[in-house]
Amino acid sequence: MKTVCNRHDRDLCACTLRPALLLGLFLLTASNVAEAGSGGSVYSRFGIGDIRHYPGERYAAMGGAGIAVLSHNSVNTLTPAGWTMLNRTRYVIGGMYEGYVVRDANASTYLSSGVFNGAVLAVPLSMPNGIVLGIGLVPYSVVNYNLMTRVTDPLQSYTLQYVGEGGLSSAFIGLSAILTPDWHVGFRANYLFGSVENRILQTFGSAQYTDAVASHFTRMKGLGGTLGVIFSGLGEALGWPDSRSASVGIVFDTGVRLKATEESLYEYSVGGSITGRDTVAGLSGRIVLPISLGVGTSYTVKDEVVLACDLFYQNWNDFEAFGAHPPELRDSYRMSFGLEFLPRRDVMATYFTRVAYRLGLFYSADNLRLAEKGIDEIGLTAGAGLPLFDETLLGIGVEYSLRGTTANQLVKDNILRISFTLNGGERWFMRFEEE
Amino acid sequence: MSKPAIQQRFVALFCALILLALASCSEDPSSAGSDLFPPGVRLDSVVVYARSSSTYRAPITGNSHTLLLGQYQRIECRMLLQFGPLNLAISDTSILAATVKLRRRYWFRDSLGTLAFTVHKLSDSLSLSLWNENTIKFSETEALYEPTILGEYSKTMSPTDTFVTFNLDTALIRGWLRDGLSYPRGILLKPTPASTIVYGFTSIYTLYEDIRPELILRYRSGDSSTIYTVQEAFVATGDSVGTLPEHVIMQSGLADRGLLRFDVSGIPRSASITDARIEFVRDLTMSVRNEFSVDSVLVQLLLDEGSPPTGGVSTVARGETEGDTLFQADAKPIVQYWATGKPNYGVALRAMGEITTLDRFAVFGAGSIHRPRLRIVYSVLR
Repeated sequence: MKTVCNRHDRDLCACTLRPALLLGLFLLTASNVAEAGSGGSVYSRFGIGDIRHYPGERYAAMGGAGIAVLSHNSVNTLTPAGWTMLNRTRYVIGGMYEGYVVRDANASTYLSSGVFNGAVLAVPLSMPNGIVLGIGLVPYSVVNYNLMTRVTDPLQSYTLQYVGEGGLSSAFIGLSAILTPDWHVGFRANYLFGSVENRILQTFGSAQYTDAVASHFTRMKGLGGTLGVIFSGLGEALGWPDSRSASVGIVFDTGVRLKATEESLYEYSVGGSITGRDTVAGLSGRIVLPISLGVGTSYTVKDEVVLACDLFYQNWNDFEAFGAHPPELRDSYRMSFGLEFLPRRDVMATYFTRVAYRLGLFYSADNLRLAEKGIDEIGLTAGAGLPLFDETLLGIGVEYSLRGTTANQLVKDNILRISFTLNGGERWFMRFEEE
Repeated sequence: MSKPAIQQRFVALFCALILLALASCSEDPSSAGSDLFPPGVRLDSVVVYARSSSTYRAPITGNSHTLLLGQYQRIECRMLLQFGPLNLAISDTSILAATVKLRRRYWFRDSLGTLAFTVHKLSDSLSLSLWNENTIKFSETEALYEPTILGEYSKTMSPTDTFVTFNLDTALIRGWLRDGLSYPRGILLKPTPASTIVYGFTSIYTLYEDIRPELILRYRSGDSSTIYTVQEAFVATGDSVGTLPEHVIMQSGLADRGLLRFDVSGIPRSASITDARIEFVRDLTMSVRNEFSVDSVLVQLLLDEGSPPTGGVSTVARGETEGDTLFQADAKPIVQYWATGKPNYGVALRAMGEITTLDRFAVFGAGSIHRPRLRIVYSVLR
């Protein structure tokens, strides 16, 4: 197959790149602004935080299902095998607003934050062979909680504030390939890194007493890999007509043995003036992130409707931190269902018929078990892929989910996530045909 | 602009505004979820009694704004004065009289008593660099002055005596003129056994005031000139109280200091010292003070074994009322220092008027039933 780009395309690329990048920078800036005064779920305090299941803007709006979905214009961060059909260099950058109603039996509050939701560059090197180079940075886990409680002590009453920040990010590089017309494979190496800060602030309302801040840091880094396979000839094998196709996919993550170090910083102050500091080195060792396995299937009708279903498992029972397994962690399961409807693809169609509409739902048995109860989450998703310029799309996703329960002194989270993702496309490394 | 383009830009702007609007929706954090945190933070209190106590002498230098002179019981205070350069152009025969003038600001113990001292010349054989007001000690003064008595002073003092003046032999001044600038133009005032009182004289020299000892020269012409001191100091000696098992003595002027050691190893590392107070009890029967006394004790963190404290973390212990026996001080910074794993050499107790008075504070030591103690409230943030 010969890929060309005429002069008109080149001009179009040049004129659409600048506003696209500006919008991307705006999304990043807005997400950072929103981070001030942030907070989230108390459950992110456990393990290495809330595990992110963000497969890309398209799939996130489809309930997170995408292990078996191939796409021409959307980068699938669930599985590198999903990159083989990309026909443009794609750059994707996203930000997300997260709002949490955190409620227990006695109190509730609404906390929100803005977070960077990843950036990915996927470059097709050989489209006939589906060889695509993918490079990206995506969140793996997030710790983000903020709560305050008044303690009445016989000696002196005080306020305790617990704040958690940080998490793990995954920087990856990988390749995809088409082995045979129906077999798509991909592998990526993941470098996980990041730090988690759990901070406790003890405040007295009087200059007579010492206020204290204890910041416990855990810094982690390690290397792992993800292997994905998609078989896209299921419909043909079942004898379906060309207008209908089906795929199945599997993705396996090797897990990571993170090198981890702990450190605690203490700061003491009286009446706002710092009176002392202390730094204490903590444990140094390994944090073992477990393997995960996902299987999925997708069904496509006339390139207009895509249905997808995934099942994802991760054996958190094998999680270890410095040689010990936290008793509150258990194996996690997630089931996702998604639907996409794209009425028209041709550029002459009216604007709203070129918008991709997405719906999804998911059920997740999270990796937490607290107070003899598993923490489960159920949610609905919706979204749209809005054409902006030529090959540039703005992906909007909305997710509303419920997690946990107020029974057994636990917490119920009502979670609203709104993501904005800029998905740009250009032709790189392709020969231009002179007019 | 085409209609689709307007629609596209409207969509982008709408999304951006939603994101910004949502960013400001957050509430203040609440206690929701606090049950998921282990009750690991709590306040604990402990009383730590002094493990040991002692008295040690840290001879002070005499550089003080109050120069002590005289004798009280077995404490002797000498004064050294070195005057500024004389006008070498004047004829030595023109000097009619020389008078030293000291301004009183302190006495010990009573206002009534006899102040008696002799005047000695600082040795001619000494160069200017051999004594320094910042380092001079009593033991070094014996070699500093000539035994010949150049003058004597003895008077029964009363509170109305705001100045002490005495004449110097003009021969001494003429000798200084002959010696030129290389020799100390100084005198030492040495109390005699007849002295029953210690007087303190002002030595203050700032941008705003100059109240130093003066040498007033009167000339035959009727003129006079005043020469101020360029170095002045007092040095004191007295019997050491040694180690008393039940007491710690802080003797100003000499100076004796107390040393208290506490074992706070029971407080976890990095604990926040929410509150800490050091308490000790003054023994009024062994303490000596008067109306000038500063009724406070400086409690100073020792940063090294055996070395005198110089600055650093300190706190002032006082009684609830003047003359109270129970002294208390905020010891949070001191205990916090130890709780962060730094070496614990104890604390020094110093009389607040250590270099300006002869106050004596006697407090009960570690061997007493009223032993010093630390009342500590702490919390561990895990």
